[in-house]
Amino acid sequence: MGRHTLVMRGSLQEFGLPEVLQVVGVSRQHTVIELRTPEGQRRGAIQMKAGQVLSCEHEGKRGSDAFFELFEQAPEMFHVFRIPDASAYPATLGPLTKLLMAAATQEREPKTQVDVKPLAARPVGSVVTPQPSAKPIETPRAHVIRRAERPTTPPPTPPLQAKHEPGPVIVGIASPKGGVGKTTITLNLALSLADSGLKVAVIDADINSDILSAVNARGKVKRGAFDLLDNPELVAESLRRTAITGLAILPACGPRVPLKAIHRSDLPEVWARLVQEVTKQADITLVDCPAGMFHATNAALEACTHVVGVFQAEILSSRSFSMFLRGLAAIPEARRPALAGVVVNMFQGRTEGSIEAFHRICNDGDRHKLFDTTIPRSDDFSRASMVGQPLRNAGRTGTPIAFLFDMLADELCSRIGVQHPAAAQPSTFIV
Amino acid sequence: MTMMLTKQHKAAIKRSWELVVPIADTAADLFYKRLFEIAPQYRRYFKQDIAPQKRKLLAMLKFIVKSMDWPDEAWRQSVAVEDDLFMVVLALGRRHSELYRIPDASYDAVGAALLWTLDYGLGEAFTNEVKDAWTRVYTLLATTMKMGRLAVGEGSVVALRANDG
Repeated sequence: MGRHTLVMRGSLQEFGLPEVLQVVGVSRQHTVIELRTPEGQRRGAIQMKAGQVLSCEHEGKRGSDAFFELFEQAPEMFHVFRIPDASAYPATLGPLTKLLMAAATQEREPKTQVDVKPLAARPVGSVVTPQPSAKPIETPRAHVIRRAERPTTPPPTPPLQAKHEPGPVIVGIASPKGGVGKTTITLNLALSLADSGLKVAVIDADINSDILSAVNARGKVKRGAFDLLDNPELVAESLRRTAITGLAILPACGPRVPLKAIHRSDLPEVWARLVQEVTKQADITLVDCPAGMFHATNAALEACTHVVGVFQAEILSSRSFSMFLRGLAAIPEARRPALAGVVVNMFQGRTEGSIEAFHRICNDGDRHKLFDTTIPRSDDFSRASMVGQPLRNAGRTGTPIAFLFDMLADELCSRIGVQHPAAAQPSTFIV
Repeated sequence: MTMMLTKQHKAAIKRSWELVVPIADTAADLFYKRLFEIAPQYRRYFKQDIAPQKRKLLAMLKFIVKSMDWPDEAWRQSVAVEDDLFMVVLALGRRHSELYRIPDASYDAVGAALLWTLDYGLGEAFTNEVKDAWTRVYTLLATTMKMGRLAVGEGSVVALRANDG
C-alpha cells in the first residue's frame, strides 16, 4: 500500500455514509474511506476508484458483507485518503451504484419483501434521496411540467372511512395505468381471503376480461358483468364457482362483447344494482376495475365501499399515479369509497428505476396509506399463467409470494374491519 | 433525488451542453440575472463587475461536462488531481466556505438559477431526461462543495488548470 494523503475528514452525523460514498465515488483517484470511532479507533475501510469499489473490510470481515455491515453499524467519523494508483487492480466488488442499491434494499436478506417499506425512514434511504431543497426549483416552463406530472397542490386525500357503514364490504381494485397487475392482485387476494374462510366474489369490471385470460377460461362462460348490467337479477346463476371453496367469479362478459353495455358502464347506477346483487352471495366482493380512474372505473368505484390502489414500482407508473387520488377525489364525497390502501406491485430490488419509483411512493406513503406488504416481480407469476391458475393456487409446493398475498389479505381485513372466520377460532395453542 | 449518474445521464449532459456552447455568454448573463432575481441577498458576494465571475462559471461547467466524457470502462487509468472532478470541486467548496463565507443555503438558489437558465436557453431540448441529468449533476456538485469545509491537506488546495478557462 502506498503513501496515504489525507483529503478530508468529517462526521457521518453531518453527511451520511451514502452521500460520502457517492461524492468520493466520482473521483478517479485511488481513495480509501476509513471509518473510525470518535476516539479515532479504525473500524473499517472502503477502497474506491472511479466508481468501482475495490475492497471493503469491517471488523475482520471482508467483501460485500463487510460493505453491507458498515451501513448498519457505521462508526461516527470518516477520513478520506488518496493513495497512489496500483500497477494492477485485481477483481473488484463491483460498481458503487449497485452496492448502494443492494445495501439500500437489503437484497441479501430473504425477508426483504416484507421489511422493505420502512426503507424510506432509514438513514440509508439518503442513497437516492438527499435533503430536498427548501424551495422547489422553478424553471420557465415549470408550470407546464407541473400540469403534466404533478398537481400544484396535492389532490385531496379521500378519507379512509368515507362512506363505509356496517353492511356488505365491496373493495374496488384500481389504478390510473394499465398493466400494473390489478387482475393479478385481485385474483390472488381473493384466494387468500377465501382460504381464510370468507365467502368471496370477484367482479371483472374490465371489458377486456383479463380475469378469464389469467385462468385460461376465455370462451368457457356464457355471460358476465357487462351482460348483466341491465339484468342484475341473473347474477346468482351467472356467478362461476371455482376450485377454491368460497370463491366465485363474475367474469366481464360472455363470448360476445355487449357493445351497448360498454356505453352504459360509465353509469354509476347500473354498477350499483349489479354489485348489490353480487354482495348477496358473498362476505366480501372484490371489483377488478379497468385501467384509468375515470369513466367505467369511476362508476364502478361508486358502488364500492373501499378501494385498493395498485402501484407498479416503475418510473412511468409512478408519474401517472398522481391520478389515482385525483380520480378518487372526482367521486362525490358521499359516494366515494374509503381508501383502504395502496399496494406496491412488481418491485424489482435490482433495478434502479423500480427502487426510485418505490422511494417516491414511500415518500408519499401516508397519503396513500401504503400497505406494509409489497409484491415483487417474479417469474412465478408467468409460470402460474402458463398453467392457467392464480399464483396463489398454482404452487402448493410453496412460492413465498403466495404467502405475501395472505399477509396482504390480513392487512386489508384489519383495515376495513372484516374479521376472518379463522381468527374467531379458539386460540389455545397447547391442548 | 439521487446523485448517481448513468451513461444515459452523462450523454444527456454532453448533448445539451453542446447546445449551450454557442450561447454560453448569454447563458452566463441569464444565470446571474436569474440568481440575483430569486436571491438578491447573494449579490453582495460578487464584485460589481460580474464578467470575471462569468468566465469562471463557464470554465467550471466546461470542466464538469468534460469529466462526463470519460468512459466508465477506463476506471483503471491514472488521472492528475487537477483533472479530477471530485478533487477540484472539493477544493472549490473549501474556498467558498472558508474564503468567501458562502452559506450552504445559497446552493439551492444557485441550482434553481442554473436549471432555469438551461430551461430558458434550451427550450424544447430541455426534456425531462435532460433536466433529471442536470439536477443529479448539480446535486452531486453542491454536496461535494458543501463537503469542502471538511477538506484538509491536498483536498483543500487543488485548483482547476488555468488553461481550462
